Amino acid sequence: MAADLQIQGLTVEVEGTEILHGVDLEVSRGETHALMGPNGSGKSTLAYSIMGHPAYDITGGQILLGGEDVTGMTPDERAALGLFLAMQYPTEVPGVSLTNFLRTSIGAVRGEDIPVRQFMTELREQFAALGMDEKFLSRNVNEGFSGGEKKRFEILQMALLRPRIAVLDETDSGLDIDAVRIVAEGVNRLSGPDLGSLIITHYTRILNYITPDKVHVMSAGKIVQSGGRELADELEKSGYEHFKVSA
Amino acid sequence: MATLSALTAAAVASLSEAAGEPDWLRDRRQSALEALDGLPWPTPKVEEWRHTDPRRIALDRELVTRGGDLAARPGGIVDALEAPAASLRIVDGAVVEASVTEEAAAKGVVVSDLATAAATHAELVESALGEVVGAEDAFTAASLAAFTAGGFVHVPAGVELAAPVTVTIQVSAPGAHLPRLLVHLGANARADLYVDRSGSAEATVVEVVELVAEDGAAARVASTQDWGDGVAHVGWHRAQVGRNADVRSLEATFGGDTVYVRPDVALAGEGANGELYGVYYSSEEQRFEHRATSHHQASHTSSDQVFKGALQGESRAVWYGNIRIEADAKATTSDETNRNLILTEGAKADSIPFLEILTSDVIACGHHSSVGQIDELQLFYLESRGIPRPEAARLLVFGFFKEVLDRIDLEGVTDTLLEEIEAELKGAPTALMDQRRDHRRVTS
Repeated sequence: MAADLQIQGLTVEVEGTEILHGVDLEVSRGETHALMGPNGSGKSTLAYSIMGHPAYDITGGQILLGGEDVTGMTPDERAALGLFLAMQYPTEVPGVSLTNFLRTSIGAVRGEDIPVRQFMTELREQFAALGMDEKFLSRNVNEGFSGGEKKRFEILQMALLRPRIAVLDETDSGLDIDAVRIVAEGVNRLSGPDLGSLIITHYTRILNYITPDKVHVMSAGKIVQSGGRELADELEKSGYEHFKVSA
Repeated sequence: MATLSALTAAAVASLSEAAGEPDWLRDRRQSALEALDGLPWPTPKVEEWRHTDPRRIALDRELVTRGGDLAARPGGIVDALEAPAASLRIVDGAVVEASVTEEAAAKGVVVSDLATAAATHAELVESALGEVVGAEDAFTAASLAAFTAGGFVHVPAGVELAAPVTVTIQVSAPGAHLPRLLVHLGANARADLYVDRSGSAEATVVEVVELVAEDGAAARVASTQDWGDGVAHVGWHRAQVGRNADVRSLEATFGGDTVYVRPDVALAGEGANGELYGVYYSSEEQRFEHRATSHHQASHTSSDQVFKGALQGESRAVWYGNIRIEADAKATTSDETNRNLILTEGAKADSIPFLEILTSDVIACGHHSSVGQIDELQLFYLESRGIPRPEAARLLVFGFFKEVLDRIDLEGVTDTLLEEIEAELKGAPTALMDQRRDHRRVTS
């Protein structure tokens, strides 16, 4: 059976410069993958390309979700099919209330409006699960949130949108150890047979809390090695230096 | 009958006589007419009219004083109100209705036409009319000389009104309309004022609103309009704010062909606070200019200006914000902000913050200005959460305006204006509202 997310021979350009030189990767539901690599290796480019960011031009290859080619789809179409991207730097959206945003988002992804009562119940559950203060309910999207609050809010959205494939782009970066733990626990809580995760990280730290089924190493726009958990341990010891290849 | 560019003493006298005004008011009109003689009508060479061509404002239209009756415009901020404390209606150059609820009348609240007020509140009207906005240029001189419909609102000292006072100005006859309002809040009075303008005719509207907030008074003003395409509107809306008094106003500009509005606060008493907010949304060939001045005349005064606009089509909008701090106005706090969202390539915004600071004793004085497009990062963030691009853009435009509207929380105003913004958005450019981005390139 084909993997839920299939990335095949993906080449991506940003402003005319090729960043990804043919990436192959498969993630299925029920699996947790870690994608590791040094800064500038193309990890975030891959994340944005999977979600369909317009600044990332896909010049070759394809992305399949559940066997369906999503390469030419808009980000919202991909989201509706069950893709989710937790961003490294979640965007502040002034003037747009968190509740209005979430309700619109959930309605769009689930394909039907969610009754207000049910929405508030689900929302309160997730706030409690992530240890987020309900004062955020009256705030605008990410506005004035601390780094840790923004990341928790990403996990909260993931919980509400129930994707089949979630890409977490450096969700652990810039967080203190307690925040990393809370975020990791959030991911673990959502993990299960229905969710496949691709955790993009520079450090092995978050992998102390999340055990990946597979680890991939990216360097210079390609995946240069894939293996099990032990690959992360190796990286912890010897760094990225000996994975570097000429592009 | 007379036109703006050819006002005569006889025409002014006949306006005054027809309204039944006392001699002093007739004389004041005549003095303003004399002042007008020495005040040239603006040309594009005049600094204040460099950005909006004054030739778009026809001066050769006949003054309209016929009055009449028109149904209230549906969907406006006044229409949305359940029960105002008092209301004044101006239709085609005449005050056609002035009413005060029994409860407000019992507290001494007065709403009437100016001629009546000149008799019943002679001392007050005589001392205030033309004092906040005098004969400063040709338009204001013409207004004082030849205002066609004058309205008067008075809230006595210490009276707090729970419901707003409403004024509607409606235009259906082609010609020149010169409405003028004098609003007076006695010491420690509190009131909200809604002024809504509407109408569709080949009309020039020259309007002056003078608001006096005596010591300790607090007023919030929502000033909206839904002019049709034939209307050119020049408006001076100025509040004079006394000691520890507080005036906050919101100017919403959506309709009209050419709209040139000057929302000003004059912070005349120590500790006065003045806040000027504005939202505008220009489309097609519309020309909007907002020239706002926060004038610090006394010490420990504070002011804020926030104007936000969206532009589409071939429209143009100008914001010129000025903070003037007089030499003997010490320890003041002030700020001015203008943000513009360009929704289509053909639209153009000019954002001009200006400061005139005549003292070195300032606590804070800031200015911020920007002209840009909808933030692609914000769009992507919303789209990545399943929200289609047109809906995402709509949320972002709403959010952009809501930031201003939230600062002045008046019953029904925010919702009404968001509905008007929604209506404007329906005519929004395809590039923004297109599900697919035109620069998407997929070659696989």
